[in-house]
Amino acid sequence: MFLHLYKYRLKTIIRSKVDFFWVLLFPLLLGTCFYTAFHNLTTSLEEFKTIPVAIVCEDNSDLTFFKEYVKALSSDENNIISVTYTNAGEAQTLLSDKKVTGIITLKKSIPSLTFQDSDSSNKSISQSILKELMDSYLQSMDILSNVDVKDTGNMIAVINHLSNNADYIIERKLTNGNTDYMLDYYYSLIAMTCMFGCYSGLSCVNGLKADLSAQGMRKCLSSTKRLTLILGDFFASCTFPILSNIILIIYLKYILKINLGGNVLLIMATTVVGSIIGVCVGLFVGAIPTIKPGAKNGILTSLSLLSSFLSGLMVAGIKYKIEKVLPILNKLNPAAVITDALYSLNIYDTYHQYITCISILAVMSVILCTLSYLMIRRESYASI
Amino acid sequence: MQVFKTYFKVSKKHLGAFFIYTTIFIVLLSVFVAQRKEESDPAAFQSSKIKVSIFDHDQSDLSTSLVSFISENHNIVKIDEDLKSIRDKMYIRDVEYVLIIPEGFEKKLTSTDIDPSYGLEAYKFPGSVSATFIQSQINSFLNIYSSYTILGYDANTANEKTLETLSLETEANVSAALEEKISVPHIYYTIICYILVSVIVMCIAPIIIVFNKEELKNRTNLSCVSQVKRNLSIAAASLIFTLLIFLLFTVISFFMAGNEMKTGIGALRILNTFVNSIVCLSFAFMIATFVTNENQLTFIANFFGLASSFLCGVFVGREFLGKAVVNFSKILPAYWYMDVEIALSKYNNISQFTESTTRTLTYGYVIQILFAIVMFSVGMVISKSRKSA
Amino acid sequence: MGASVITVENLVKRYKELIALDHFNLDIKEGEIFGLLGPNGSGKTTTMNCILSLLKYDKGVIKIFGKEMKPDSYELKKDIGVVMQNVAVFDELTVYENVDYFCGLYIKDKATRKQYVEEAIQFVDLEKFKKFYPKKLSGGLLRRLNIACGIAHKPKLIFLDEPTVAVDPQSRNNILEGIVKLNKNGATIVYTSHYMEEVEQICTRIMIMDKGKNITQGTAAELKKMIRNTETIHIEILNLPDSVIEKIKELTHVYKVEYAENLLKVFYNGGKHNLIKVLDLLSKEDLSFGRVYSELPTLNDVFLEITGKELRD
Repeated sequence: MFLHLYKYRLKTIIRSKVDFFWVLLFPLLLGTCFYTAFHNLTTSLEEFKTIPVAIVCEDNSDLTFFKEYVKALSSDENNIISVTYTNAGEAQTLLSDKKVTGIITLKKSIPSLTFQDSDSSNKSISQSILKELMDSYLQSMDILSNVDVKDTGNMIAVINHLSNNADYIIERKLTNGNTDYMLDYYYSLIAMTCMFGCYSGLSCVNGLKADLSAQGMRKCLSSTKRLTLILGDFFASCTFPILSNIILIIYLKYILKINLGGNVLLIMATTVVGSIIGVCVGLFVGAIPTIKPGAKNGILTSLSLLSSFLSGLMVAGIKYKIEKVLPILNKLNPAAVITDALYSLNIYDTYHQYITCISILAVMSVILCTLSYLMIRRESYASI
Repeated sequence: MQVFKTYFKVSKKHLGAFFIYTTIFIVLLSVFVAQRKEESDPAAFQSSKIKVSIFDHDQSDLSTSLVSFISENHNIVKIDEDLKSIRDKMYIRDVEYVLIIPEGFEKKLTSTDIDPSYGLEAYKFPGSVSATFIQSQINSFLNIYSSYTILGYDANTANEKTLETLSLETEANVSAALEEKISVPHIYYTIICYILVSVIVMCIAPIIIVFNKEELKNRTNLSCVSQVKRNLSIAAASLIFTLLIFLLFTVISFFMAGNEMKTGIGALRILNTFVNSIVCLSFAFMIATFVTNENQLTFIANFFGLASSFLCGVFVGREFLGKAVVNFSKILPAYWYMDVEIALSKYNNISQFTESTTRTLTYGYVIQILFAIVMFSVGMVISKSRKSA
Repeated sequence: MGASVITVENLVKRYKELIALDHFNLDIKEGEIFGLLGPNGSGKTTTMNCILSLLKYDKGVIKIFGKEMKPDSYELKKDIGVVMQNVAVFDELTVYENVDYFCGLYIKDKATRKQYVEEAIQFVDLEKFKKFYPKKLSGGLLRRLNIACGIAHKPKLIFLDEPTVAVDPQSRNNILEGIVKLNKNGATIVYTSHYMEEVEQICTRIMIMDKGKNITQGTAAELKKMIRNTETIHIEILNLPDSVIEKIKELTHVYKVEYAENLLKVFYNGGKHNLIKVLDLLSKEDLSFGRVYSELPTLNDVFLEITGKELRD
């Protein structure tokens, strides 16, 4: 009996071609969109290009040190900047034509910088780097001013020391996982796809209640036990969202080659549980008798979008803000819990955090299922 | 007139959904504006103060100086020194940088044999730009300090001199800075692009869909109202709802942005939003002609809303997207909306507009209107072909 | 007539202020085709839904096959088949799959079910359409599918709620013949409708209801005997003088004469060869006439006389 119900409900779902198409395709298309949008971001930020600079000397002060410094920076070995020595007018033209990032103007051996509008992050990073290089020069000069000109020994020692530009910090890895923060968006996308399983849940309920559909009425009148009917339809309604999420993971990981971090099987397991909670949310909202049928779709769409938004779909930092202001909301928002689970698989070596998240999702599903069952199992209505 | 009246009768059933969508999206909007405002707060940004934890196992003059230097420039946070605590605290952004000064660090640093492999240990939050910045500050401090030690100064003097040296900064001038200013109206009118398309499509398209289905059922195609007239009646009725939604969100913007909206720039923003509303309406009209149920509509509307918002720089700034993506996104109306909005955000006053600004604005408005016309026409064509099918 | 299959005692159902069923009683015997006739809003569907335990009711006792009917009376439900007013089939399943699905809700054994499904499809004459989807079927064929889904499991008691609404005449006849066949095969039928001609045609016993109350019940012949009218003669005649109308009124068994828009209606409460007598009278008055026909009383007349309303609005 159960298999009979499951088989036919699954057939009904698969054959509603356009729905099927969109449920499957929507996350894949959106994932591709993210990939297109973000793919360039990390590579463009990491790429370092030599910064073109114009140097203008306003007076005849001694620039030996400065020129040595600049020579070192623009050498083939370092290639941090490329230099053009010129006059003020031409330098301004080069700046306006965007042929140089900035102008270094030397007055009494002291450099000052001139930039133009920074409408791209790459430019502003270049500007910061230039400023830092000039600050470094000023500071080095200040140190050397403490050295007696005749004390060549110390002079050389300090200059050598400074030019080593030692890095005293050993960065320890906090995690073996993928620390690309763009991953947050992908996690939210996966969470949103799980939440969109709510429509399957809604459609399941509509087919079970006599006051919501003629087919539901027929099922109510049949001699099949109510629980069997509900279970058969429920499991079939969960199958498709689970499948579409697994396909999404495979697509992201193996076709777009995004490093989702963590064990892929556990990621899929997370989406299985996530899909079930999505279906349960739909089941629950659909089963509430006091809500008009027309409003249910609206409520589910709004809830799904809002919960995805609060888990960081559109603005990455929101979840952490909520963690500080109202942490309970993150525990009650299924999308936030799903992203937490995925994040913990990525970042942590232990599974404690992950198991906590999955448990929360499981408990939520059980509660929603139970409440839904209590509302759906009723076969007599006040009015139909 | 009949069609017009029937439209409102049908819409009555959908008022509940209308109300729910609008409320949820207002909540979304408010949270978004608050969050973005905080992220891009100039005061917060300029100081670049981050939350740092330091574990000083050396307790030497050098380490004390270093710790004091860091505390002057950043916020010190106390946490437990085990990997799990560090990870947990970093995960919820309670701390962004952890520095561990090993025992004997001062000795190693001030000896002539400076070997950085005996250096400090640090944990930094992945992808944090400020964390990278603090690292370069620490390295500068240590390099300068060790230089003074090489020159023979004692710890106190070296510390004093290091701080003095570090305070030296190059003067930097930015000429005619025309930057995209992150103000509340800018944040609001950026996200409103996504909000409007979602609310308008999800509220209006279902009414038109029901209308199309009802008609086909009742075969009122045989009536004497021509298809064109009927579509125009539907469009006119939908326009009233669109205007209501537009007015609602404009009023909300006045609440959020207040005085900044009572300017010429504010008026141009309102115009931009009005034009965008019409584009959203046309889009709703177009997809209502071939979508058969609300589930499909949800997916299509959300996909286009989210995709075009991501690709056109609503959620992630345009400067972060690749050139190819930006070029591709020109085929989406949201691109032209954002073009206008970004241009407007650079100025305080209409009198500051240059020729290219006026051109950008004009193109933006006109191309959006063209999109609206095209989508509406496509909708009419599909509707006609469905009737005869 | 055998034992009682359905007994309803004192059924009361209220929708807030409105009383949908007002102390309604019903007794349907085994083997009957029981017609429930009444205008729209009289409570026919409500009665059916209460009997089937789909609707909660405020007062009363309902028994089917001698046992009290409850939502979880799964044993009783096995022997009940329902064909609802709204077509309850899945658009995504073929004709065969639809019947198989719904039959499967009652019959677990695959082999038996397969046989039943084939027989049901044959019964409603949809063999050529087995692989069709409901969207491709006409209204009449869709109704037949609806019926197949409701009776495939060979129930002993079948409810049909307005099964011929918006159906072409050929399909309608097929459906009515089918119902009679089902009855001959041993099923008790409860048939609700507001089409009196159908009810008259197939029902062995009829109950007329209005405003949640049982107005009257009996066989068609018994019901018609309840009213005064036995025959109505219609004659198309121009310019009929009042004096002639008076004369017609004096004919035996005439209890009412109406003349409007050139149509004369003479109502009889008995007698034979009434038509000859009235035509004779008209010839004697030298009056010529057009179309002439005699109408026997319908259930509508019964309803009209009892309630003062038409069955069909």
